[in-house]
Amino acid sequence: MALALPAAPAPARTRSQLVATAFACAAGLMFFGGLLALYAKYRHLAGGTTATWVPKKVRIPEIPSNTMLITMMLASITAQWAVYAMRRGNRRDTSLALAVTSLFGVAVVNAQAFIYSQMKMPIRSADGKAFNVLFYTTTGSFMFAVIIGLGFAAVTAFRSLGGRFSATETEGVSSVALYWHFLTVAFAGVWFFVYVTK
Amino acid sequence: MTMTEAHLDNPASTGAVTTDVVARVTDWTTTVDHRHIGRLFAGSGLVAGLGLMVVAVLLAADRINSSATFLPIDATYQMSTLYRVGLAFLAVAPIVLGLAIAIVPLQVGASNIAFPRAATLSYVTWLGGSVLVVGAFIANGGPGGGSNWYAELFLAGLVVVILGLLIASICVVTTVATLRAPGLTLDRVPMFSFANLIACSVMLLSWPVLIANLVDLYVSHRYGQVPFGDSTKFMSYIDWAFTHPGVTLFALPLLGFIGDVVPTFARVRQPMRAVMMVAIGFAGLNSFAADVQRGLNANTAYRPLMILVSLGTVLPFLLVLGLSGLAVRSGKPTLGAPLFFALAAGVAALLAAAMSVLIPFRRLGLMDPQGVSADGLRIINSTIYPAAQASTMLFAALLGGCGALAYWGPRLWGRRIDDKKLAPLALLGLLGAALVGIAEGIAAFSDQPIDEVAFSISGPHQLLNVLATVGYGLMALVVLGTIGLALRGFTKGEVTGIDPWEGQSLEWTVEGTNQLAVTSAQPLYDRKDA
Repeated sequence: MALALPAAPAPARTRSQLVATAFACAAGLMFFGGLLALYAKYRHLAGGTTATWVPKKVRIPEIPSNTMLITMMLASITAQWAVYAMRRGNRRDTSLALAVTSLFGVAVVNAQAFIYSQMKMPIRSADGKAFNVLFYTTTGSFMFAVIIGLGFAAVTAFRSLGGRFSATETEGVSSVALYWHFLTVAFAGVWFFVYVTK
Repeated sequence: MTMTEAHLDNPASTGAVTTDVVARVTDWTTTVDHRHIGRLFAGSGLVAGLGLMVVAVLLAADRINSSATFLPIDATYQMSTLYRVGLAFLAVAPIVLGLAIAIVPLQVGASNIAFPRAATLSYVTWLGGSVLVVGAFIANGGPGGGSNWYAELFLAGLVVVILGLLIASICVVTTVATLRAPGLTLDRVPMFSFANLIACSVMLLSWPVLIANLVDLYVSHRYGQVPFGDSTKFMSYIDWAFTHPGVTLFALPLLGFIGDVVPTFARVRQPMRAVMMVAIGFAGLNSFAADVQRGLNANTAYRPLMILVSLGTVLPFLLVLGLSGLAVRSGKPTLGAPLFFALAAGVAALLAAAMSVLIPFRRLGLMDPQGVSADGLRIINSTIYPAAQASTMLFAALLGGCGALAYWGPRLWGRRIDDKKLAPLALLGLLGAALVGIAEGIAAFSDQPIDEVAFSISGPHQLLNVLATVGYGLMALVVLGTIGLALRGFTKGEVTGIDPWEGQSLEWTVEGTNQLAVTSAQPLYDRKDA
């Protein structure tokens, strides 16, 4: 009589990548929190008003910055769409969603570049104000984070097309989505401190 | 066809038989074995620690006669800041994280660290950053450096160093959070792994703020030095990460080391284990320092919160040492170098924690960034007191690292360090840490300034600085002795079995959880009881 052992139970999912991404995002939030704290502190030391903080000849365009915030929110939605699609085993939509997310990311970089070009503000302050340095450091750091997000999304999209994920294995896509949610939250802070409060 | 795979525990698979030097170096630098990465981190940290101890001895000796210094006067500030930054980020942090990378996966029953390639990257990143930092100091950069370019290189290098350490932290914390063996719930995790979970989590929340400061400092320094000023102001924006309360973070894994070693040597289950875990968690909470930056908020130290934090720093160390004493009392302790190191490090850390209690009190004229308090006395943050407290805490962590190397060395190398030769170093280390802490702490009350060697103060500062020099010398001797004994012990020492200490947790078995059910925090002890 042939005996067959029952199949071994599936190993528990570790979710290591998602957990690591969550820790990295928490670290990222603290990084932007640190940048914004310095921004707020020196704004306060300069008198605490836009008039005393921002150099007189500098005009910060508001429409592109508002557009950036909306774009980041859309990127967050499309990143979550990628997770939604992958949970249903739809690789094509997953890759499409990640591509759209990346497109939004490129749009944000473009908008930031437009803001820089409109402001025409040197990094070295002519009148000894701290605004110039802190503005470029804060917004530049965010651009750097977005570029990392673009790379992360691109790699994940290719891995998705290569069949590395499935309806039961969505961790990589979820990690990308989490990162883009983090970027959106971080930009909300940058937007409020740098572009709204100024 | 028959295939034979060498198990990781087989000495043949650890590279011992590789004779070609290039191949061996390549193997080590591209390794994905967590034990190799951990050993690289810890070994590099020890070597860096030895170099920094030499710098500290020179500085302390130069302070003995402040009117006739032998070091170039314009280099002493840079040497002092190199010692303070370096001891934290180039010596203690890599030792602590290296041991975590090597040991934590074994303790939680994982086959490797989470993201082993990232762990290798973290080492390479840290090493590259360390070279930049030291190179910047040598080329007249760093805080107070005469070369703007190299001052900026120091900032960039320190960012790279911290990035490397943060990547390592993510690997460790993810390993504990997600790769635990079935049955090993978080409350059953060995104390060293638990302490590293807390420490790495706080590092991930605290040190990115330091990176933010460094990035702002870099851009500011490069473009007009507004608003942060020149390189002499660097330390006021970064030293919060390695002075009280941030320095406690470096010693957190030490609490876990004590929590693992003492019950093992006492041959008993740790009494009130949950209380010890809460104490470690509380120490982690206290060590978050991003909110007490003196460069940003001069009055931070006067806040009641800061007083509570300082008082609260003592409590976890007292609790852990007290509970360890309880374990020793209720068991049948055997003696060994790791136990001596654990207790010596614990006492040194308790001394440092006790010293921290004085820091926030204004009555003593402490923590005024202007350097002089209202009553005309030099205040403590411009005296040597915070540096003395930080040195003592970092020495405690260093002693813990040396002890951990002796304790887990047999698991990593298959050989052990000579116990009889190593044990006295623990006592020398405790003496060294205490001499530095007490002598420089007292010297601070006669207004001995921080980061300077030429000063005019009253009081018996010469004697105090002689004692401090002896303390630094003893610590240098401990580090040198540990390196020497480890090199000898781990290459030619007594070959041990997998479990020379009759340990209680999973790292002391090769069976892992394949044949062993984890039903408590001491699965190996359970098996003996059964």
